[in-house]
Amino acid sequence: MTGSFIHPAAWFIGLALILPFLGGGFWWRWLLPIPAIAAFISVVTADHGLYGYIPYLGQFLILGRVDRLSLVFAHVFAIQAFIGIIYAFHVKEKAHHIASLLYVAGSFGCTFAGDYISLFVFWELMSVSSTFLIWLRRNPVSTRAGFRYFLFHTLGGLFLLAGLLLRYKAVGTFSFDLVNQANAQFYDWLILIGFAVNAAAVPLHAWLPDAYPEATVPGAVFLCAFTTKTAVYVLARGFAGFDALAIAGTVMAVYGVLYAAIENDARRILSYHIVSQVGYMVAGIGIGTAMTVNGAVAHAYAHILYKGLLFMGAGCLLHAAATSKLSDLGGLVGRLPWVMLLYMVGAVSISGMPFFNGFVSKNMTIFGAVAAHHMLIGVFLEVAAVGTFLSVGIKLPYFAFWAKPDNPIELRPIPKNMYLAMAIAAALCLAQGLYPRLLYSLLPNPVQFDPYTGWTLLQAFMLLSFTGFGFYLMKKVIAPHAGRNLDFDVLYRLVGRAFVYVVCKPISLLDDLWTEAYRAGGLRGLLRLAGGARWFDAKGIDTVVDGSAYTVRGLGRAGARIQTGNLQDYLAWAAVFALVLYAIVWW
Amino acid sequence: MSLGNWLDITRKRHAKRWTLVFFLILAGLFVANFFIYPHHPEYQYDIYPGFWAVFGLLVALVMVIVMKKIVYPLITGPEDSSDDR
Repeated sequence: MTGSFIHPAAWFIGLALILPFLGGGFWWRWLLPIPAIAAFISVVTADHGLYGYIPYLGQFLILGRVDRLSLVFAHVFAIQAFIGIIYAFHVKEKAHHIASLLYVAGSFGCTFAGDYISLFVFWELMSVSSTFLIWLRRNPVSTRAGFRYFLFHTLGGLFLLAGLLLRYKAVGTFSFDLVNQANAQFYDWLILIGFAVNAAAVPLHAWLPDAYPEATVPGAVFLCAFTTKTAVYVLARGFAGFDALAIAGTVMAVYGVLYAAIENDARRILSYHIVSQVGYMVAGIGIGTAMTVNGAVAHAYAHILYKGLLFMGAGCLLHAAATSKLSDLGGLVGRLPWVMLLYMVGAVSISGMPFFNGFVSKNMTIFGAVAAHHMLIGVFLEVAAVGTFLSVGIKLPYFAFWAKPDNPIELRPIPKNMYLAMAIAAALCLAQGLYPRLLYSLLPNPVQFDPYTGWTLLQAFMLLSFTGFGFYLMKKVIAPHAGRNLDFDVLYRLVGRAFVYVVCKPISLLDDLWTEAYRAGGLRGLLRLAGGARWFDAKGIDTVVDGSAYTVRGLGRAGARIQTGNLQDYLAWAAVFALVLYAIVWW
Repeated sequence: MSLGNWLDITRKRHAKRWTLVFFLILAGLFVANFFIYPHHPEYQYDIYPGFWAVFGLLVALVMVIVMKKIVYPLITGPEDSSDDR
């Protein structure tokens, strides 16, 4: 094989493995940006091809499938990993950095995986490590949200696992390639459901707005970039052209903005807009023409940058004011002017304002949909565009930075590295808006699309300005209130409780019956048996067994130390164990 | 004067002036639509001047009214607090 490729995940896993052993102060933080920079170099110098073969079950697992589609995602993942690490540069907690490094590694692993087994391993690595970015907020609300998040991703992972095993049984290979909708089998749909969970497709989306707002401030910046966009990548890789995705994506795009219009928490508003924005991508993939797949990929790229910027802005509010609830914020523009300005760059980008990167990517999908004669999808995506500007572009900043005359709320100082990370993201959003070739040259298909004509500019400005006029008229109505809005997560919880009830009641009934029967009949016989056993024990066994008993007790103590009863600890150990095992297999 | 001060003073003293600028922009865009229009209309109706203006305004109004006045009261509840189970 000619050409070279160093897997970007190796850099992140490498640092995550040595980080626990680095002591003596805080100097190790200067190592944190290295994997991201090295990964970026790996990506831009990579040659197309297949790398990293592992023999397994008489076939080959492929860790490195390098082509235009995987490279464009890896490109932005490397950039966003760098930005996220800069944003988290002041965090002293090693566990946080390790979780984010492994999470990013999982994302790279999925992106380059050429078969379903490797994909599944990295998919689960992402799911486990991302859960820690929620738990490390260390409050009861985030602990519970993290459990719900993890359970739901486990469910999604099981769909993927069931699908890939059934598929292996049917076709005898783990290869991960494009499925033709006409030939899609039952197992393909199971895999698709597993992917749809991570893409936050309605109604499997509720984990996202449930958990992301409870994550740590820098953790949410990582979360908003990698899970859903990795899912977009695997959908584009395996399921482009599925009509069901075109419909699901359009529903997501509209559903997300409707909820965001009534949300109060800044990070929850942004979370619902992930659902909406990923909807554009899923719809583009579902339509499946060269232009809409390009649009979906371009939008994923742009989205990672501006959504990260928005979460960083909202994170600054949460960091400084200790709340991200709009009903408690307001009037902060004079005190946090740069947070406002940098946030607004992200806000106009996501809204598709000309000269920012959302404009050059979003319109590609919408025009592509219309060109493929999906008028209705195009119209609904425009509805979502209005809703996006309404909530993220106007409502959130208005009620966070304006709305009140003055806000006496106490503000913690914001570390400089957080500003720096936001400035980098903002510069990239603007640069891609001004020079669309920066983005278009990376896309999987050739681009024949000019975003800037007199009419597209006027159309965009008209749509956005009159949305603003709508907000002006509705300012009093849309004012946010404290409260948690019901979503499908309530349904999940209901199903969960019903399951626990069904399992518990019959089993506890059986248990009661058994205890009763045992007490009546079994106990007397057992006592007689015990008498005999004691005699035998006292005479013969004691001398032999005592030695081994000490050994067992020692082992038991070590075991008890690991068995803390916390699922968190078990998960961390399981992740370490799995990584080591996988490394040995790879070796 | 720092950026923060300028923004604070602007919003407190010159709010009316900025509102006027905003309305002038709206009017300007609407008028421009009579001269700049799509050569191949994307949708059937966007050949009419002001279509996207009306679209943006109506969608925003309907979305806010329906969601906040009708849907929100039906689905809102207490926030997830740190002591409930």
